[in-house]
Amino acid sequence: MSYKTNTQVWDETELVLGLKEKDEEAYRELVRQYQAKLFRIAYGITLDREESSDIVQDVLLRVYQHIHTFKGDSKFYFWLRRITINMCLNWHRRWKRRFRWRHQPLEKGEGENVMELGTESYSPETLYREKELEKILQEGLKTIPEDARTVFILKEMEGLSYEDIAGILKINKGTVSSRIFYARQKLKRSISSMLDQGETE
Amino acid sequence: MKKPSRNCDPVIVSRFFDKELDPADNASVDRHINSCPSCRKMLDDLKTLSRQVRTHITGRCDTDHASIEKSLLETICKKKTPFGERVKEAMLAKKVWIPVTAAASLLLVFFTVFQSPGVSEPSAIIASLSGDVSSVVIIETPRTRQTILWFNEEFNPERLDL
Ligand SMILES: [Zn+2]
Repeated sequence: MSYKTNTQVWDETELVLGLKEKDEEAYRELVRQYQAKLFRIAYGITLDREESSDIVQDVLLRVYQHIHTFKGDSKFYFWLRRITINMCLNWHRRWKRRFRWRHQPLEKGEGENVMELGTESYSPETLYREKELEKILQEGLKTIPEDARTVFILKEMEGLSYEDIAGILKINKGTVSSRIFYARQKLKRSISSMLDQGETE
Repeated sequence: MKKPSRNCDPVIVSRFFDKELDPADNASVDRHINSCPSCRKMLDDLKTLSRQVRTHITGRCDTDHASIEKSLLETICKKKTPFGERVKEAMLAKKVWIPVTAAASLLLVFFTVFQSPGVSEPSAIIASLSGDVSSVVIIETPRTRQTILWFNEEFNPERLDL
């Protein structure tokens, strides 16, 4: 049986079929099509690039190995997304993550290169302000408890409805609503308090 | 300028922003927001925050996807070992795991019993092993004692697709 070459677009059904037949080109396509999307979700939840990369690789590998368990009653991407979220929230990973954060609060490369040379469109001041905002956002996101952040990220990055989020995380719609609200308040507050601190320094 | 009324509920504005209100409520909240500067400001702040978060996360995800692809393809090529070999590997893995998990559960019991409450934040992860059958994390606690945590987390795709 011949499969698609690189330049052709695979539709979901063909991709799943190819994966079920352990076609290497189908696997390549799986990685290419979905890794960036899944990475964004994983990063939103874990705020850790290394771990997100780990999670995405684990998800894609397991999908390849367990593709026969995909029943096709939801979109393939929804299935991948659900596995990714579950993998991020796996308590073994959460535990290790919490531990790492306590002992190395900053991700490598964070807050570095603040004093890059300015270009015409990016004056040193603009660049500095952008870097500062980036740092503040990152720290602000970290202050949101993981449960609330997960809900918030699924809303912001995936644009999911409260009902869909509730279904994925097996919580009430009301809980989704209050966690999103809480995450926003918390983030807003940490951003403004960090901005205030910056001004008084 | 209108005073903030009891309509000026930030929770409602947040749900309005997410398009999660009933159609009837939505229309009245929409009218209210249009005439209320304080809610207008809340809504604008939500828009800004949302944009900033999306830009931020997307920016930080600018990672080396090509190398992930390469390492994944290498892994599946390795996985394509003959069936007999795979069975042997699985057997070997279990032989190691069973004694380790037994020791781990014993230790876990030991420390649950003997640790005084409210102390001993772990200070280092000594080793962490993840297997198909279970995972083990060995941590060091401040009094240089070692604790082993054993996680039995078999991958179950059925469970992941409830
Ligand atoms: Zn108002």
